[in-house]
Amino acid sequence: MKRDGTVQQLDLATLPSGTFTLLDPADETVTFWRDIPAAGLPLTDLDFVNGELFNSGLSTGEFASTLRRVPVPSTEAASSTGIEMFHATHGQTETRAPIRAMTVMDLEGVATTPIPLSGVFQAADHDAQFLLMLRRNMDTGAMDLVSFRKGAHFRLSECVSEYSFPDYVYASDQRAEGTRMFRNMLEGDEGYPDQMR
Amino acid sequence: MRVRTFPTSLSVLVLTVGLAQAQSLQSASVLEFAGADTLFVADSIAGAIHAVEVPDIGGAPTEATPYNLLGLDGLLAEALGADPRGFTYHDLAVHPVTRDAWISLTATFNGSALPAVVTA
Repeated sequence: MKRDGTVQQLDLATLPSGTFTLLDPADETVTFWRDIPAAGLPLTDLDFVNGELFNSGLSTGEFASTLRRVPVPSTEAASSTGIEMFHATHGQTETRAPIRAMTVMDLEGVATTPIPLSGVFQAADHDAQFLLMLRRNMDTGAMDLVSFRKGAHFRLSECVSEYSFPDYVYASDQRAEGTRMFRNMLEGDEGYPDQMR
Repeated sequence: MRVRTFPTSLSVLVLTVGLAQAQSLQSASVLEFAGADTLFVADSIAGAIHAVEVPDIGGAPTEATPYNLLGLDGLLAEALGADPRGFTYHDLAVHPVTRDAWISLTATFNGSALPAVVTA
């Protein structure tokens, strides 16, 4: 689309192109939040740095969270790495929560400010338990009117993590039980009582 | 979802809170509740603030109930008969008793933009 509002259609099939096909897309039988296929999350973000295309997403296997590194234009030396992160909040090493957004940077001298509520247009104090947000949905582009439980800072149904996998088993310790109860509460808040467990 | 609009009845509502002269709404921007019965509606184009008497819309909820309205444009378009791609949102306010959301916006009807205040 041009600045004056005119729209030009591009026929991608007629343009010079190259394709890198992922070798290890996620399991097609796994879904999250009823209808989000794991196979739809093979590419969650792209960064092009110094002639290499970094892409994050889900692949198969226990180390589902994957960071792929693809040299461009020759893709023969492409490599992938299973991502393992230690989540301090619940004391577990996770291998399945996919990276949703990333930035490649030199950390020396960099200051960052996290902004967890992307797209928020207006916010209001709803009640003792919730904040109310009029926000642009970063996936659909639509305006949403949604509540965020105070202190949670996110909506659970917008995250795919290791807990979303149907075969995830909570540990039997008190910390895991707290996580399970917290997730159940958010699932109820967000209209997914059937996913409590 | 309940939707109420005031583009045509605002003058009556304005009179009920004692403003000297009823005005039509040229725009609806900032919202602010003054207790349970009065909603201030800023009309930025007219350079005016309207005090609107809020109709009786029920009491306090028995428990906290979150909102999960995804795709508000489509819901409002259906409710108002407006163009789903023609909404401009301005402000959000929560009624202090019912905890309902009130939103000021501009909606487009057959190419004509009209201000509205809705509660969802």
